[in-house]
Amino acid sequence: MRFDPVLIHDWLTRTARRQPGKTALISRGQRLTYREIEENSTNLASALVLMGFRKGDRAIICLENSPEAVISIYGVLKAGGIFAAIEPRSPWPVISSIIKDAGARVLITHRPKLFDREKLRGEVKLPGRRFQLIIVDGFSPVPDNYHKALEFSRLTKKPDASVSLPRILETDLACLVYTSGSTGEPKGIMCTHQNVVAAARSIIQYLENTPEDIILDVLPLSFDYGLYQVIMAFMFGGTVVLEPSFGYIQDLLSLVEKEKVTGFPLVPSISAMLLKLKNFPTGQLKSLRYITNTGAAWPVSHIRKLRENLPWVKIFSMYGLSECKRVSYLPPDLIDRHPDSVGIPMPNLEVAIVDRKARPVPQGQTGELIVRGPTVMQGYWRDKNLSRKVFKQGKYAADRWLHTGDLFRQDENGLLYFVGRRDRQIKSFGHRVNLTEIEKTVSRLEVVLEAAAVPVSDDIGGEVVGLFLAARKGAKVDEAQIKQFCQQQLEPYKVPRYIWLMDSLPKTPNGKIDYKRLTSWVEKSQTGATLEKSDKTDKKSSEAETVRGEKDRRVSEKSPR
Amino acid sequence: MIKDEIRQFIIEKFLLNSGDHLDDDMSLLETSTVDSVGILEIVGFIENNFNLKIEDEELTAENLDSVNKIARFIEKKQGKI
Repeated sequence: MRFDPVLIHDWLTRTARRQPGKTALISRGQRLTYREIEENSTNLASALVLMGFRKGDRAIICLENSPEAVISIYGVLKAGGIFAAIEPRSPWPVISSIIKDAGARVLITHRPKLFDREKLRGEVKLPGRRFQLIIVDGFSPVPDNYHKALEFSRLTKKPDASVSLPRILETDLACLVYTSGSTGEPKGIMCTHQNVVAAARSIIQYLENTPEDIILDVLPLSFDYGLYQVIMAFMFGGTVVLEPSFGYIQDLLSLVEKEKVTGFPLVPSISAMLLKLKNFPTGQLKSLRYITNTGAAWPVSHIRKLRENLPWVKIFSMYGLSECKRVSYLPPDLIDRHPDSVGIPMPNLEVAIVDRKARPVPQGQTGELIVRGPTVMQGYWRDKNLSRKVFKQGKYAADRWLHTGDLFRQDENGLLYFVGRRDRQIKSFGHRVNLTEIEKTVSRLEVVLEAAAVPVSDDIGGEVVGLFLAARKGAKVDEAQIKQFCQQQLEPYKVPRYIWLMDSLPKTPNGKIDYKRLTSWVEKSQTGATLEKSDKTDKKSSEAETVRGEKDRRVSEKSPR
Repeated sequence: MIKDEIRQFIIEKFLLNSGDHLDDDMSLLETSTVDSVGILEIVGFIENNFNLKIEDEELTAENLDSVNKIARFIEKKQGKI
């Protein structure tokens, strides 16, 4: 009897043995067969081992969705390494803090400009002498201060020496998934091969994937939702059409039509863009078998319109978090009756809804969702305290409950409903954003006295960051300056879209920033309602007026189609 | 000049921080200058600023992926080419 593989990359090897000539990946105009990906990634693994990369070493992959990104992932795994795919457009401070946190040996990137620019400013301090930079194309000549940089394309050629790759177990770590932690610092979620393969199997099972499936993946590989599309397809032997973003809609739709895409994983900002088209492209999407959503709550209006326009397509509304990959999915035949539910626990996973003392709440009541199963990850990299708080140990090693921090309720049929977050996290374009992190970041600017970040609802992004600021006395601040600073310090989706300057921020009676009032100003200004003049002082209400004025201007400036 | 207006909009909106120069032939998406939402913002800018209506079918890289391409696209829409 033959058993299934237990390592992520062994699934690729098996598929490559079974169907070597089949197209595995279509990306940026290239088509790669399973054999090519298998060979290139093995060669990369050998090169890594030859350069001294050892089992358990970390490699940061900072690449746009591309063949090189996929080969890097599998190459690092085969070398026994732990990969962390990070947002390719991160500014240097974010990348360097992750390199440091992970203690990475290797950075694979295609960002020549990043280094040029930073070199000019003298800001790049690459950690340690053992650190190795690998550059993917378009980086010639290699700048002199990176004499050690290696070219990716040379590392995927067959090595002269024979190399023995290390022995790897399913309980070894495969990757770190970086996400905003509750403190706002990036946290690496530790995932073993076993965790990843277990999650992928459960998802493949309920999506009923087959080798005939062709998946369009426009979600970044730094986002586990995007990453698993590749991992899963390589397990069931399908094809992935991997593009860096949902860029030019018409080009993407042509690609769907040409490649006869069957599976389309999306986040609400993508369905929003589709539904903004003057004519819904039903004809171009006729090859679709299913659409999935996760990453942020899916507006019921999106679901209804997709059902109307694509009645033969199975629509999966799902919920999950990187700490356990996926929690639940709504069986597609329930979507018309319960479009606001995220369904039932996926196979091989158990959930409970509990109060603050971890006691189950009565059915129908709201509480925190907790999750148990083989997909609950290993905790946060180098943060035992936080890990203990979020991943609670049960009766034996594998008996662990993940405390999601998400508030849920369950109806009489066992269907799950997302109610809200316990902390200050929002979802922007499907990304987790911690509002505290934004405040901490801008507060590093000397001119800033107080900062309060609030969610602002947005047609496309779901929610985006709005920022209220008060400057120090006598200091001059302007919006552009703040925005520029944020762009240099934060990933693009975290940069405040709206900035409102105030003399001072409103406070609650016990002196804390009054977020409720700020949020209600934003909400009122969005609905265009006139602000009441009933605020305590004239000064306050004039501030509120300013808020509205600013916002109106920006909205019209953005002017969605 | 149409080109200048577009260039200025993109620099103000997307390149504020970087000191990157914006080559008129540079691909906006490939260089990560602009993301998919940014493209919609550019489209909104073109519609408002040049008083044009952009059709679904026109949302392609061919029309929108560099300053030069956008300028050519606008001129075509205005009937100048």
